[in-house]
Amino acid sequence: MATREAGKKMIMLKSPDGMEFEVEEAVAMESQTIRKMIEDDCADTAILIPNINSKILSRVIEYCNKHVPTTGATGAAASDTVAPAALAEDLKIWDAEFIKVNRATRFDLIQAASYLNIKGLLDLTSQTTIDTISDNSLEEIRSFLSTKNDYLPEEEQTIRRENQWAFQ
Amino acid sequence: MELRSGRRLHFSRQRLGQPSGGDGGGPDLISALPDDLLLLVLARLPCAGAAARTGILSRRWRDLWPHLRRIVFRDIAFDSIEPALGRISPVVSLLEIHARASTRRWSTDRVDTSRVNSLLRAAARLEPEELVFGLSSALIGDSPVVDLPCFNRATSIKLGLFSAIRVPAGVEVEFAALETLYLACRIDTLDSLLSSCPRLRTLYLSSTEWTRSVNIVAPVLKQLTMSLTASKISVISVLAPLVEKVSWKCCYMNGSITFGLWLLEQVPLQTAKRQGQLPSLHIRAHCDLSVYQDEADNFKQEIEKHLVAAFSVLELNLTTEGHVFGSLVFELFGIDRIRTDVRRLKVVLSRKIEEGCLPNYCPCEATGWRSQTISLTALEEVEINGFEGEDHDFDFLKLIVRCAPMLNRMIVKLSQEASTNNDVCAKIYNMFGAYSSVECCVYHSSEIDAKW
Repeated sequence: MATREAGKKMIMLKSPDGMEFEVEEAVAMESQTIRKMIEDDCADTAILIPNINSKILSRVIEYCNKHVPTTGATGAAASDTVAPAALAEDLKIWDAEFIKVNRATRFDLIQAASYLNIKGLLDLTSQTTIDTISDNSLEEIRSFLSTKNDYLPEEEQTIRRENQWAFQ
Repeated sequence: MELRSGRRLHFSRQRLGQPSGGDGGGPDLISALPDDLLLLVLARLPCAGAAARTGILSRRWRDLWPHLRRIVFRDIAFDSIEPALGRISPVVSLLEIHARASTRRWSTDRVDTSRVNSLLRAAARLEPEELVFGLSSALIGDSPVVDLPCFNRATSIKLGLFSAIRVPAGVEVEFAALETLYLACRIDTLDSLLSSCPRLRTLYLSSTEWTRSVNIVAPVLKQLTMSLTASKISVISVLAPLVEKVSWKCCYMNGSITFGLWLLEQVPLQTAKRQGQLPSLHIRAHCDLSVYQDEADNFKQEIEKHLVAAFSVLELNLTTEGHVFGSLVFELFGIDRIRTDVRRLKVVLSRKIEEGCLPNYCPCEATGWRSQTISLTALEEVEINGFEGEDHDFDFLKLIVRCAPMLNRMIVKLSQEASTNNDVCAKIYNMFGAYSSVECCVYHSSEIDAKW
């Protein structure tokens, strides 16, 4: 396995479109799926991340880089000088910027976060989606999600009747 | 596709009737997400009602929400909840139900016991791991008895019902997985429920209504929080040999337990909340001449009902109204656990009215406490707050010195009146001058006066 920067372990991640990303092991292990592969010794050379294209994978790595805990030999100084609350606030602002992406990218990120099992990223992407669902009218939601109403009028009436309690 | 770790990928667009399109290409991207991811998104909605409303977006969404594993009904009309539960597929991890409270105090929207029981049975069908069920008192009316069906997968149950709860009679039920039980309800009928929870580790019971009987048998209970109202005919028994954290508070109905002129108000018992804190028993009582009756209640036996955990601090909050308190404290010293376990005693004296003793003989003097001796084997530190400097106050100091061979510290905080009288201070100095092993601190009502 490749090593760099004073013994930091590096991991090679490969996307299906042939791109390779060399990342610190700690960063890659933000993904519970990759962590398990490393712990199970399934990551000798490079890990192929199927179904996540290089564009999305690079965004995911960007997220993990930002969120990897800043502890250890080199990170200790950073976390000592900045208060945890300020760090958390900084991360929140960074997250808000990070998720300003088009819908297609966001849904790809949801899928990637789910497969790679990165809880923070999954929370961020699904919460951003749900915020639009909770605050808007049905028509607005349909329009935002590009979901077409494929019910017949009488069907829609039935659904409304079935779930009348939810509309009261 | 199978990974080396064995995890199977499920990036599917295989559902019927979905719009087609590749990554980023199709117009309806979210509907193309697999069910489990859509459910992850829906799970972030605060209420099942909001999730159910998405059913109207399109066919793709219609039957998604009943597959949510964490179901929260917030502010939903009582009658709507049971039919909605009927649509949800078992097994859920959380079922939380807060029925909408009736807005009119005496409205006819009240639900009777059979409807509550029916809703609870519908909830049990979903086999939640965690159940939270709350009905407001305005909704449920006066004192019904609710039958709690068996939730055999539940590890945590929280019920706020303002009613009595029992497990159905004649049925063998066991809450085999239950570790945490929170009940804000009437406590009387709980014995059968509590004896059906063999793994119970955390128990919280709270009732503002009078409790006739509570009998807790919990072999592995670690944490007990109890708040109840009792009287002298209340039967209270706790058998929890492994309990570590206890927060206990029993309030007495006014005048139900008396000792001479004293009325018992509250008995809280609290184990350490943080490191360095000592577990303590508090007793709050007040004097009232009008309640005096010759027949004495068994005050000691009453206090003993509440000694459900070890303690080393005894704090007495006594509203004396000018009466002698030594007889009451001496009576309490007669309780074995107090006599042998208390290392620190704090007596806080106060008076709200100027009642004072009767001129010739006052019933507060009922026992011959001034001349008696009892061995307080562990007592090391005593603090008296509100010391008035009367003869009986000094007799109490003498009693402590006589009975506590291990005493090494005495703190006396004078009442406001005694603070203006130098004789009181001097008299305490004189008294403790004779006991070199006892460090004595006397405080005026507002500041430190002297340190002996």
